[in-house]
Amino acid sequence: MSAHPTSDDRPVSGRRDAKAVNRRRVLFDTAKTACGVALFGLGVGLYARNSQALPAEAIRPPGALPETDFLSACVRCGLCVRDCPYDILKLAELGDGVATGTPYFTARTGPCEMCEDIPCVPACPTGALDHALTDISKARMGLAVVIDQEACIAFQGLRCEVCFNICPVRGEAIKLEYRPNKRSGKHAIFPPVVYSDHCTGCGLCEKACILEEAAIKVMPIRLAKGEIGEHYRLGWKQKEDAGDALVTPDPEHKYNLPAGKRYDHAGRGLIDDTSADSPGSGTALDTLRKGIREAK
Amino acid sequence: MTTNVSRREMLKASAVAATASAAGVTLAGVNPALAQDGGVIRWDKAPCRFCGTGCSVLVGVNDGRVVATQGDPDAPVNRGLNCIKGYFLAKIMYGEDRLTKPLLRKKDGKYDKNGDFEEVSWDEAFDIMAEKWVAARKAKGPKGVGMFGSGQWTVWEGYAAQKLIKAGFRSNSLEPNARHCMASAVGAFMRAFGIDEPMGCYDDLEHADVFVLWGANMAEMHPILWSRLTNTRLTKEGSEVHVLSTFENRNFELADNGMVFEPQTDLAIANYIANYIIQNEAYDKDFLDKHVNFTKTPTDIGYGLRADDPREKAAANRAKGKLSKISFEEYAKSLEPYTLEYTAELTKVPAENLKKLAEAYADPNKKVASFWTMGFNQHTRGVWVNGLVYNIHLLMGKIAEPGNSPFSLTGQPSACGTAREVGTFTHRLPADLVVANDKHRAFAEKIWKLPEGTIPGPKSEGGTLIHAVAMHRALKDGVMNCFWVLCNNNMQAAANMNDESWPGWRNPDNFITVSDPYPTVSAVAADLILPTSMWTEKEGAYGNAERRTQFWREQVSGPGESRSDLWQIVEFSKRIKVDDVWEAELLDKMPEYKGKTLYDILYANGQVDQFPYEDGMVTDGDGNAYKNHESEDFGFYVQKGLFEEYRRFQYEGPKKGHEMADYDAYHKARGMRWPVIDGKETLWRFREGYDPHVAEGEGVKFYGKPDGRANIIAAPFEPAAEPPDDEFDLWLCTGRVLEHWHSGSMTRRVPELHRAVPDAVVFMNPKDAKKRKLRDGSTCKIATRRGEIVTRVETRGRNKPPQGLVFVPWFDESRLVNKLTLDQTDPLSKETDYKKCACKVEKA
Amino acid sequence: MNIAGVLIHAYPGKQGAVRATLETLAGVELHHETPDGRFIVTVEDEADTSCDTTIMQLQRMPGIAAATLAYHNFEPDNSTPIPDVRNDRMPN
Repeated sequence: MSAHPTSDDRPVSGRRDAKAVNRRRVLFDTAKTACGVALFGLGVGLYARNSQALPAEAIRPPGALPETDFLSACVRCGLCVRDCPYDILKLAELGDGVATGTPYFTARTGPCEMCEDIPCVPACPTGALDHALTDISKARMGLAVVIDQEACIAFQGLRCEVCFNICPVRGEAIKLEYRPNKRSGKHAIFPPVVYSDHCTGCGLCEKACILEEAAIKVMPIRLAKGEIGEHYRLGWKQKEDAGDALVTPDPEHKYNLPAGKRYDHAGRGLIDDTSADSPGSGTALDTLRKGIREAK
Repeated sequence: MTTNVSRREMLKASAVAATASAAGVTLAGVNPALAQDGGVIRWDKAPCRFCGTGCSVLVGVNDGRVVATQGDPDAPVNRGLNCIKGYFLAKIMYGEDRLTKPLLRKKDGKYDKNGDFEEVSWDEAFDIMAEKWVAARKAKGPKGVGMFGSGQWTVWEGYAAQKLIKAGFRSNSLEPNARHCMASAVGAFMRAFGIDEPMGCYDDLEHADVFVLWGANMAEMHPILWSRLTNTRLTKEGSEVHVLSTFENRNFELADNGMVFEPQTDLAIANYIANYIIQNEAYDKDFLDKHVNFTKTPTDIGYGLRADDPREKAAANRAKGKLSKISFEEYAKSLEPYTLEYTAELTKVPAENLKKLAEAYADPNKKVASFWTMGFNQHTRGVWVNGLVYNIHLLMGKIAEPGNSPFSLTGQPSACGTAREVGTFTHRLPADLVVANDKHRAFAEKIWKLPEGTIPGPKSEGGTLIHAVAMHRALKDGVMNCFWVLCNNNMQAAANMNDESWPGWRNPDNFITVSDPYPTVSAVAADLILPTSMWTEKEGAYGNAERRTQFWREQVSGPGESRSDLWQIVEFSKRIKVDDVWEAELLDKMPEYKGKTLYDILYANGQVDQFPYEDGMVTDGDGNAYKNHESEDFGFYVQKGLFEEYRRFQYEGPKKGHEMADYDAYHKARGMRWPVIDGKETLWRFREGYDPHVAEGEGVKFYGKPDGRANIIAAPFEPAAEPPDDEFDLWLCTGRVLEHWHSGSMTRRVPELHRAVPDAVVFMNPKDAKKRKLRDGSTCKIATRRGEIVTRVETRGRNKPPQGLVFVPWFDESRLVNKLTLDQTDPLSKETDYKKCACKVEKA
Repeated sequence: MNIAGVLIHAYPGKQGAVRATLETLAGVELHHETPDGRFIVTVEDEADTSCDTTIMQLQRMPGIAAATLAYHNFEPDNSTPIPDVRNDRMPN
């Protein structure tokens, strides 16, 4: 376990959080003791490296420039913090692990509420928060990642879906997939999946996650995103983007088939219209015309 | 305290063992593995205490505390799964503000309606309560006292209450909160089939090809059933899902045919489908000839409002429901107005969607399961609209067989098992018997060893049937003076809080008792609060929506001086002398009862007390012994005695088809679906081969009716009581969310659930919001003719209302949405309609 | 409620002094001592001192080379978001 310098002093509010901090402090102290003298050395080094790496839990306000540009542009004035109506932004203090005086928030304790008018952005006098951002849904503060599928109870088939329900970019940034539950044999599983095209990184999902330790977390995009090799494309996506097949479609296929059978080239293959196992084939009126209770 | 101390010691032992093992030190006398786990967790089964699905959970107890739960992998309903409320079951009993002592309003050392709550002993609590109840019974007769119970009561709590009120106090004023929840479903079952509860079971979720959800947001309210339905949709070729609602909810995410209709017009949709079936001659003539009668119901029946309301005065057949026989042709003719064009225009549902739905029902080769809950039941024409769906299934003969199933779901864990089967309604007695039937009353009196005429008939003096909504009116009007509310939060739950509930409870003439584990809104409004032991703090039984009866053993003790509702009801009966509440003429018929208490007559009656109890006799299959506080206190196995006496109604009563297995059998099984005959449960009723009450060669028999035939009941579309107008220009619909249970008194005390959904917002169409200069997150005021609340606007949430309708959940005690709602009911079922009244929303 | 299991190493020659100190500290209970100068103690919250403060104190104590937390159990007291019963107040 590494002694994480930010875990000691997150912004807190309310009694319960105070206790949580209490616990964290105990654990932190443990780690500190375990590391012994080494900690002091590490501590000094840490402050020195503040201006380069941002701890994964610290998230910049909406519209923040890339981290190095942001650090040179931000004058540590605190105006964005002042104008945040939900008081979630905080100016980093010595030891937070974030460049002292720069603004950030912590999703688990206080996520961005995604104000439609984004008051923190126009408040920025230097453009460290990019004034071109006027639509909050275009903000990319980070990216939510379902980081622990073993702990996430939705992946086990429990009906939780709190992250899906709380997501302000509803049904786009987090979607539920539908899968049969092979273990139970008769239920479905509804795992949440994050779509980076739409996730703003606001962190409401991380805050709302009902686990002791959130299974969904907002990560800096640089840590969260994979990238497919330039040498390979996903055919169905390319087709969708192009609006049509990239190569001319086949002429209609025809088959030798006995009566009552059809063959669906692009989908289901052989279809038995007479089988009682597929009552759904054909339209309702097709079946109606066959007469009442004929199938019995 | 002892619990805390020993738990501390246990944790310390763990701490020492863990530290020693980390240091590589061996300690004598400490078993690190054992200590590390905090000792051994004892696991036992219990049904979840939230919705009507009836998932089974395993409850883990260590050192007198429920420390963990898990979905029961061997339970057929849920196979190890739970929803998020079930995930947090272990935490609902441990809210910081559990009530642990009786609290009475006092001033200067005496009870005072305007005093402050002070801790009192159980003796003092019951003394003042008995004094008030006896006085009210004497002064106002049977109507002077009333009890309001719950579909979350255990089976025997309902049964004990039934005896105390109807036989003990000789009053018909016993109602469950289930009146607000599924009374319309009951009314429709009785009218169509003459016997309550669904004919099918949850296996229909796997057997149907077509699912139709009529006003049931199953995705959120029956989460585990939804995951079964979804699985079928994903894995069964040709399966399809149709969803009807007055706003787009989470069901629509899976829907093949999602339909948002204008409130109240579901009546027209159901009639259109029936019309389509007849016009296309798709109906099953043979089935109709053999198994169905055609009838019609009186129309223009009012809205269950107070009699002086102009809408009631205008009603031609106020609250009338007597059916009259008609011919098939007359029935067909009554449907003629419901053409596709007319219905599409009235309902605002596109014609092609309606047609697709009708085709699905009319297709003889598709098995159709219809599900509904509050959208149908909380409806001023709830009994009618339930019946209109039975009409469709009966026309097609798609009923009472695997996959073909009209299925009324319930909201509460024992709305079926307790409220309906035990009959804790003003008009009912156990096992589908009714107070209005002289023979039924006489039968109950015989089983209960009471003189003839003990249970007041509805036409006897003071025997009036006062239903749930009328109870608050009776309190306000001073007709009823004592009211005992157990296992529910009716101040928050009942409609029109400002005009009826609050003035009724705070009426200076009235004495209100609330029994609850937590200080709810109802507790705040009460005069006496009794601390209740909940869920697995007592031995219990629930019955879910598929007729499955499930038992559990007492796992832990309730905190402080809390006691179960069963204990409270039975103990209170010891305080009441029969001479104080029975008229002398009645007592003369059984002079041996003179001078006795209601406890002696109702519970220590030689039947309920016939099973001896000794500590350690309640055990599970592994030999673990469980406590049973009630039996310990009363000196006999109370639950078993009550259940076995109740079972006599099922076996000896005039109505067959309710048979259950014996008490001990249920402690061994993960529930059984009644009727249970010779140990065999019944999956589908009324169908030969599946139902033991249908004889060989009969095929189908609706044996609840004397002629074995079900009723198709013609009923038209009629408008709602309070549609929007120029001033109050929006429909207000109220309801629930997945994360919270009912009034939130338990789930809001789980910090994680509170964090997930902290407050009730108003779900609104973005265009409606914009028109009112509101945007997502704005604070707004919602007002109706009865009150107003302030909340936040939500335009991009899980529910997407059409323009003209807003939706507000009711779990949030800081936003009491029932200040807004109208106390309208279905005039037949007396169930409140919480789904339709007019409101306006403006910037706050 | 916090309960911690802590392993303490005494500097050579200071074992006796450390033992004496540990026995006087509120919230600290000595469960085991090894001949080579290691102590197994539990630390609990006291009315005026929380468990973590005591552990910090142990670390700074003369004669102690290291105080390592090996086990920590934390049980929340189930805080609730809902206010208490107020007498005769119309809920708003």
